Amino acid sequence: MNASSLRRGQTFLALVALALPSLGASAAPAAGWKLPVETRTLKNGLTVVVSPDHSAPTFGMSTVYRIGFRLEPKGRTGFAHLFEHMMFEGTPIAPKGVYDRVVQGGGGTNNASTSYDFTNYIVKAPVSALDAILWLEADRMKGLDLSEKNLQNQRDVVKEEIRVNVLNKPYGLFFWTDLFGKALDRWENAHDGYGSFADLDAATVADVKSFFEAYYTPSNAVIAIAGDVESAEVFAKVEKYFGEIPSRTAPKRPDVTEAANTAERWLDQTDPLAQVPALAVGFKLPGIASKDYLPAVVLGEILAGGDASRFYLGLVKGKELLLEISGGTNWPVGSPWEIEGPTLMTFFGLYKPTTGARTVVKTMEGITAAIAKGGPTAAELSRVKTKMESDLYAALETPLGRADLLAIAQTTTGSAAGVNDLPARIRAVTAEEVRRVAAAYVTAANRTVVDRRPAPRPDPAPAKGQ
Amino acid sequence: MKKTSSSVLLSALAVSSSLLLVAAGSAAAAEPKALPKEIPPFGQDRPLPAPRILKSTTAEGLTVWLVPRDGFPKVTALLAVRGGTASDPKGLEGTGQILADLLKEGTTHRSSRQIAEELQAIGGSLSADASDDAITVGADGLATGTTRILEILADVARNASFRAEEVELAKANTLQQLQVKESTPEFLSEKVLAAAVFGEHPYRIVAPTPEAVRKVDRDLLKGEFARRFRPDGALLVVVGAFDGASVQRSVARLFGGWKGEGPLVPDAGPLPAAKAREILFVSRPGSVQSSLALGRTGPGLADPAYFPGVLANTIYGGDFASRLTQNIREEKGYTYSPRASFTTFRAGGVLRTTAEVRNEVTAAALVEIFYELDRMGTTDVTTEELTGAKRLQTGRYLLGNQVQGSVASALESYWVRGLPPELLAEYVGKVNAVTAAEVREAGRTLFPSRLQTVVVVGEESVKKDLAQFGAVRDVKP
Repeated sequence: MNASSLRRGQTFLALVALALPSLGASAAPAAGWKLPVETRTLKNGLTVVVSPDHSAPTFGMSTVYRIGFRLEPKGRTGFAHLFEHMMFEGTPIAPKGVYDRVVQGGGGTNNASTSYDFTNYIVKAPVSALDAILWLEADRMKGLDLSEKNLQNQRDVVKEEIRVNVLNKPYGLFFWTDLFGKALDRWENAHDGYGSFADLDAATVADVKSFFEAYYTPSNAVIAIAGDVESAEVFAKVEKYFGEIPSRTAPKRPDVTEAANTAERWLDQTDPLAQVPALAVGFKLPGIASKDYLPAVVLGEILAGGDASRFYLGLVKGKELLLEISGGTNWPVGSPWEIEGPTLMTFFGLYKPTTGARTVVKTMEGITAAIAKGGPTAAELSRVKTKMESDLYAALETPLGRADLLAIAQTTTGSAAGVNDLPARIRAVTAEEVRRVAAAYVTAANRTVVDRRPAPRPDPAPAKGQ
Repeated sequence: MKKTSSSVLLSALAVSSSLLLVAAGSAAAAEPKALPKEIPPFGQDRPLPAPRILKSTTAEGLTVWLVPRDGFPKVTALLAVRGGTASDPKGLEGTGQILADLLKEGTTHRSSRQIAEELQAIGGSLSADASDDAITVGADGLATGTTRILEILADVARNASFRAEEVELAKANTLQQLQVKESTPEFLSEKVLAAAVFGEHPYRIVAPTPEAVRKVDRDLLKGEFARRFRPDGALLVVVGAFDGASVQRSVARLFGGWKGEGPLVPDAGPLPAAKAREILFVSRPGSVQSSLALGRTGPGLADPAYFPGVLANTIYGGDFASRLTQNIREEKGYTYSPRASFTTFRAGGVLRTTAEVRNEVTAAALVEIFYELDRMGTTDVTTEELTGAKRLQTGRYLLGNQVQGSVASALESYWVRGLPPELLAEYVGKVNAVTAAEVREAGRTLFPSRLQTVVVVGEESVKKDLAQFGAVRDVKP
């Protein structure tokens, strides 16, 4: 789930279900699973990561810029995401429309998404389209052909995106925007990355230009390619297409760290479109560089990772207070590996009309207090780590999955190859570390709760399904 | 079996307008502007990988399709049985989903918690879902746990226990989930569109009514389970890093002695023909967008009309480069998410267009959708469009092939539709054999706007602009 990763478009999967044939063997590395990873930095600062796999004649490519909505300009909420849309509006050489025509003509598909700390542009295609797609990516890194007309068009499209995902929908992503907004203090961390319509309206072509100048520079970007390619071939091609792009220095990332909260925060909301009450509970966490982060990821999985998790067994089964539960570390922003931080450990559930948010929170507290006291059991910890390793492999199954995670890891941690260390690092997390992190972060004082209840209906329809 | 797709150079696309052959008496859409000459040409396409599917049938009649592959250290297994929600008993329509949900909740040998923990221990999980035509149980995990995956699937398929307390919880949760669904515009439009397009056909059901849910009990579930879960009406697909012979032995052992009784679940009848345009309005106070859904019945996967239809649909609304997306998103900014889909069932298929648009452009967006639909039958598609759509389908074949779960799902969907696994290898060839004239014919027969049922879910205020397109009928979902 990637609810708050703001995407260029929904993925067009409708036709694929039947067009997804099988066949050859995937010659990815066998169990133990190390990906080949080679990294090189061009003179202009662009970092290139390659992971060859010759099992099928395709490739995946992810171009990641180290800028997301966390550091967008004040007074311009939603701008980083609007800018992402503008990257598809054409260049002086390749006007609007060319990008999609070429990608589709190459047999490929594309998308993009904006998150807190990065924006990624992704393509997957048969490898016969590699040169054309590299050219397109380099072309838009050189500069955009900006017009008021295209800005207005994408402003309209982004507003429709916000309407469809937030304003016209029950719950409206409150477990992301409202929860993070309440839990975090710095403007950078707390503001709504989708943005206000007023701020989107205020955005100008000049803003787009200056954002591009500041952040869309080779030294602030990573390009990763996985699939049916050789490293030397990719390094040469990237040098050819991107090598001449002039370098600029991106602004230094400011300090955005936050200390854990010292008193519970609680927000009551009503939802005119919902019929079933819901709650979101968040605990503030440090970023991915903290030694506490990985134990927190394991803890999140113990609490809400599937039907064997403690919250599922205790709240959906057990006391039967919740209809369903989702969550974990960095949920719903992305996977735990897709953030620089800070972030939250978040849980979202729909609750039964026979209970209340306070009862649910208290029951959760009983479950987490037991872990803070005694830690997870050895069998439980072992199972959860195996599942996490398996899920990580699943994320790396396709060339695009590999390219994207490698590029993001390079961006957020400075090491793409570090992805290969994750299984061993997950295995090394101890029960005591999990216990300590539960005691330190999953506390009443560091807790933020949003209780979202259906608004009273002016025309009381008979409650269905009771 | 092996098919090499033709190589197309981008530079050829760039000059294609001068080479365009116009069929006598037919107009063609204008070719777009040539692509910039700076863009490097596409390289030679590499050969498509050949399929390797081990087919067998157990002594009890269970169909088994295995796709062993090296590398990626996981395994996905699906067990599908004939008889989805379209086979639910009268008065209990849609409750097949409850049957599916309860398959995860325990067997005579394992509690729901044991199932979840055993699969978690091998890095996997269990899923179960009812479609119109089938109920499908899926399990996955690390390849080292392949035998455990098969054990649990066999246990669930043979020994699901439907404990009374699990049945009561599932019913209560289903009733609350219905409330959640009813608060979303997409569920309302899906429900109304399906009812209108399918008429009396059982595919009309997208969810059970609360009354039907309340009628469900343990005896009913056990009866329906016995009727549908039987080896001669089931398929097992396994894809991933395993040894074929060893899995075949495990399957023979685990499913040995599995029996079915009575007649097999009968097929649903043929779908009704497409109907003359009707506009159905669902009032959803407080909506800031109108949810538009258009649809009609169409051919199934086995019908020769399917492949031209898929390409026409791709050109019409299948991706960012499609006509509909370029028109109502990239030119007019009416919507974020226009989408055209062409899905199939065991009996026939359905074509659908959806878009969420702000209230004030509801009618303006509809007229563009009608225009793009009708254009499919009134002019030929361009060479670039047809070539692009074929290459997109070929690319999706290659990319989908790399995802274990997608391969398993594709094979399962073929079986549910009564088609052989060989279609997997034939798919790209069938796509590439389609001509522009066949796409035009698909446009003429499958895309006319006068044969689309239109559903609009939204604010009462948008209704007044709809009457110009035809009679508007208020519908309570």
